[in-house]
Order: sequence, then C-alpha cells, then structure tokens
Amino acid sequence: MEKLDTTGAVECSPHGCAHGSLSEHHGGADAICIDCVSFGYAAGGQTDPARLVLRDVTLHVELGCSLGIIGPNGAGKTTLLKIMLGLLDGYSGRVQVMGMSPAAACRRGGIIGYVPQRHQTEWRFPLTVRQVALMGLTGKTGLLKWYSRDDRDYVQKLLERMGIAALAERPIGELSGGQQQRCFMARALAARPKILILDEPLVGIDEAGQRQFAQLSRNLHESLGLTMVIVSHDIRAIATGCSRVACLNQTIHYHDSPAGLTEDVLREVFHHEISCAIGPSRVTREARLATPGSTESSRPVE
Amino acid sequence: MLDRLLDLWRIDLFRDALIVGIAVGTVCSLLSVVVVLKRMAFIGEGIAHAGFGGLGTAVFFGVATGGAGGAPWQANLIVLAFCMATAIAIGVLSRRRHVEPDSAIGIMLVAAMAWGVLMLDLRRNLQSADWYVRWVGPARGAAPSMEALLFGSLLNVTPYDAWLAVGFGALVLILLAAFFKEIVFYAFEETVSQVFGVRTGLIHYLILALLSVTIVLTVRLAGIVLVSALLVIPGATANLLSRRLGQVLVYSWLVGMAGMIGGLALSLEAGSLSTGPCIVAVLCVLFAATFVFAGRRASVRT
Repeated sequence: MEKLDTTGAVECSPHGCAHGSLSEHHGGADAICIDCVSFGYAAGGQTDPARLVLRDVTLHVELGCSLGIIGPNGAGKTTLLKIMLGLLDGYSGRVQVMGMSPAAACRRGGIIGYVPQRHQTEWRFPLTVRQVALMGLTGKTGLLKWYSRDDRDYVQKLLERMGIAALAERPIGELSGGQQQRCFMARALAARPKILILDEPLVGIDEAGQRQFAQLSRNLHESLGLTMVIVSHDIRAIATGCSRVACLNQTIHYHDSPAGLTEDVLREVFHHEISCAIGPSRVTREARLATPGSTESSRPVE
Repeated sequence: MLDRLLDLWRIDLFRDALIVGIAVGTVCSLLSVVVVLKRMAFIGEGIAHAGFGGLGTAVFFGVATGGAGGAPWQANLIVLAFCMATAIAIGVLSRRRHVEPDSAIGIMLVAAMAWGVLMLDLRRNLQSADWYVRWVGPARGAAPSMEALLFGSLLNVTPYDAWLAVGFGALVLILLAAFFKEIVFYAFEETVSQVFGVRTGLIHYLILALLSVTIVLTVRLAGIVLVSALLVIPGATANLLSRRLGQVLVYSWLVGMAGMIGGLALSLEAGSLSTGPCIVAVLCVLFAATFVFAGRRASVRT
C-alpha cells in the first residue's frame, strides 16, 4: 500500500485560545478547544440551570492525539458532538476547531472528517460506494464545480486502503455493516481532514468488524497524522487505540490517558447504567472487566 | 399509433400541449427523484395547492388565467408568489419544531384551497358591484371553471405557455444540474451534509423554489390536484427499478414522458377526457405494473 498523500490539507495554525492555566491544556497547538461550555435545551425561551445537558465542559484535544469520549446514554455526548460539528448554537462558553468556529471549519472543508452513526442513514438510497465516498469532497470542491481529478484519485486510494475498492460500483445498501462503515471512513477522509470524528463507531458492527475497525483506525491515526475523536457509550471503544480518554456525564469527570482510568471514575460516570443492568453489588467487578488493557491499568494511579 | 400521433401533431392545440408536456414532464420527472428520495411528496402537494389560492386571486383581480385571454404573465406571477410564500411559511412554521412539518403543510394546504374558492366566489358575487367592475374591468368571457383549474385541460394551453415552459424548464434543469452534488448529499443525509460543507438552508430553499416554478409551469396542463402526481410517481416508479442514481434519473424521465405523451393522446383519443386525470391514469398504470413486476425483485434484494 503506497503512502497516502496528505498535501493540500489545511496547515495547522496556532489557535487563539485564551484560557491560561487550565491543567487540561497540555501545551502545543490544540486541534479542538472547548472552554467552559454549558448547554441546556431551552424550555419556553429560558434555559433552566437545573436541566443543563452540559455543564462547564472544558476539553482540549491536542493535535495528533486520539481521544475517546465515553459516557452513558443521556450524558450529553451527542450534544457535545453537535457543538463540535457546528450543528448546534446557543451554548455558553467557547469552542474552536483549528482556531475557527466549528461551523466555519466545516464549511471550509478539509478540516473535519465525520463518520456518523449507522442508524441515521437511509441505506436504500440509490448511491454506489464510490458516490458516497466522493461526497466527502463536497465542501472542499465548492459550489458549481465537479470533483477534481486529483481528489477522485485520492478517493480511489482511500477505497483501496479500506479494502472496499472492489465494491466501489455496488449500491451502498448491499454492503455489510463493517463495509458500510469503512465506506463512510473513506468519505470522512476524502477531503484530507486534520481531525476525524467518529460517532458510536462500534454500534451495529459485528465482533470481527469491530476488531478490523480498531486496527484500521490505529493504522490511519499513525499514517495520516490524524487527530481522532471517538464518541461512544461503550467503554470498549477506547480499546481502539485511544491515547486519551474523557469521561463525560454532563461534565468532564476524567480526562487523561486510559491507563489512569480508575474504577471510581467509571463507577461515577456509568454508575446509574451499570447498577440498573446488573444490580449495585456487581458493579465494581464488572467495571474492572470492562476496562480495556490489563487490570493493573484500571487501578487508581497515585 | 405513430400515424395517429403524427395526425395529432398537426393540430396546433395538441402541438402546444405536447411541447409543454415534454418540457414540464422532463422537469417534473427529474425533480420527482429528489422529491421521493428526500421524502418531500407531501410538501410538493402543499405547494401545488397553494397554486390554487394563487389562481383564485388572479381570477379575482381580473387577470386572465387561460383560454383566449392572451398572455397571462400576471397570473403566473401571482401563482408563483403564492407557491413561494407557502413554501417559506411551511419552513418558518416548522422550524425548530414548533409545529410538525406535516401539520404545517396540512394547514397551509387547506388555507390556500379555501382562499382560492372564496376568491372565485367573491368575483362572481361582486359582478353587480360598480366599484369592483370599474376596478378590475368587466369580465372578459367566461371565468375558467373550477374543474379546469383543479384538473387541467388542454384548452388552458397557449403558445405562450409552451415557450414559458421550455424556457423556465431549462432554467430549472440547469439549476438542478449545477447544484446536483449538494442536492443529492442533502437528500441522502441532511445533517451530515452540513458537516461536509453543504449549505443546507440554501439547498432547502433552492429545492422549494425549483418546486414552485415547476408547479407554476405544470398547473395549466395537469391541474392543481394532479401536479403532485407528476412530482411523485415517476421518481417512485424509477426507485423500484434501480439502486443506481443515474439509472433512476433515466427511468424516471422515461416514465414521466410516457405518462405525459400517453396521457395527452388518451385525453384526445377518448373524446376530450380531462388531461390531468388521463396523465395520472397512465402514470398510475405504469407504477402499478412496475410494482407488480419489479417491486418484488427489489424488495428481496434489500
């Protein structure tokens, strides 16, 4: 497999993030800066402080790092994701993606690549795998123009790399779940973005597909120098090679390397869900088992 | 059959109708692919019925709406204004889910119908009022019958309509082609397309504007009630036949053409049957045949 060409991608510029001494800020340029973001769905035009979906969320994603954002259902993951993608306004605080507002970053193309959840897609839509992958170039190409030769060649390389080049002319609905996901990965990477954001990548994918996905995402992260953000309710998602993990439940409970993830944190974040499912007494043991890597790594780190 | 069509071609009225039919049939059937894939069938119907409110208003103001009344560009303008206003009103009402979109469409649809009927009634009732007759001028000839407005008639078509249909039909097709990649992405995954740089607001209103113009061009021939058939049946039929976008567009166009030409011929052959119902009858037969013969195969595959 020849090396993918990433020239033409947007140069990373130092962002104008002005927050000073927050411990989450690890120096260097950040790909995504989320500063003190709170959001509540307005009821009658007034946001009720007690019903905030996100409370004081501060999260910095370094360039080139791979972050897993995990949290139970209803933790505000989708809301945070929508804010990062510029789909939601009306939050307090500040969000910057490569020094731009999220909406501006998306409109420009070539900055954010996005792999949506599987169930949001109408799979019977008459599109071939290649047509779907080419859609990733829409913002980069601009209005009234067709995709350039160079970009189409790059998409072909991506399809080969994803192992679905042979299926390129097949309708998207005829592929397996894992293949569809890899097609969406190709689309997300088509405009040579700096940041790849994946929403619940493990849902609806069988176990072999999940392993394949983990290997592929590690591989892509390294060879393309991508900044990756994986949002999931499934703790296993961070086993896909995340160098950092953030636990979200309304606010950020933990943000560091997966090795430092403790049972206490997991219990705090997932407690409600785990105790609902298996009863409070078994929570401790199950939480340890669910943590990826060795069990040592899930012990508290002093 | 062909001889008979050639005979009919020598009748001016039929020739004009056929030119309009091919022009609007092409536009409608290609647009219907977008309508069906984006699930806008009902909104198309709402906008079509708004055209009836526009026609009623045009009649009230004494603007000729067909027959020997000459070039009724004011009538077209009023109908277009009603269609656009309804499209925008539906968008505003349903934004942020204050009202569900289908409820908004339902409300605007009946409002426009009632308005149109009331305007026709008022014109009849006010014929005895001096100020009204001075204002709009005396009624020239018979006002178009409600049936002609609702169900269309060959007699409504003038050479002026033929040129208008060809000109604006070409404009709609050019815009459709120019924004094709954005429109397809928007129809496939609205939210995701925004992340990939599609200006979804622009595309949404562009599609509504194209629908409005198309409906204005089509109402004279097919009638208000049956316009939406032309905007749904070709696309729905083509979707049963193929899972490839290029083929779907071609099949849709073929179905639209067959409906238009077949319907027009039927309407004259069978002794002045209403044009609209004839076109729709042919389209429905084509859809039913496709559903029976190809539908089973398509549903097995997906």
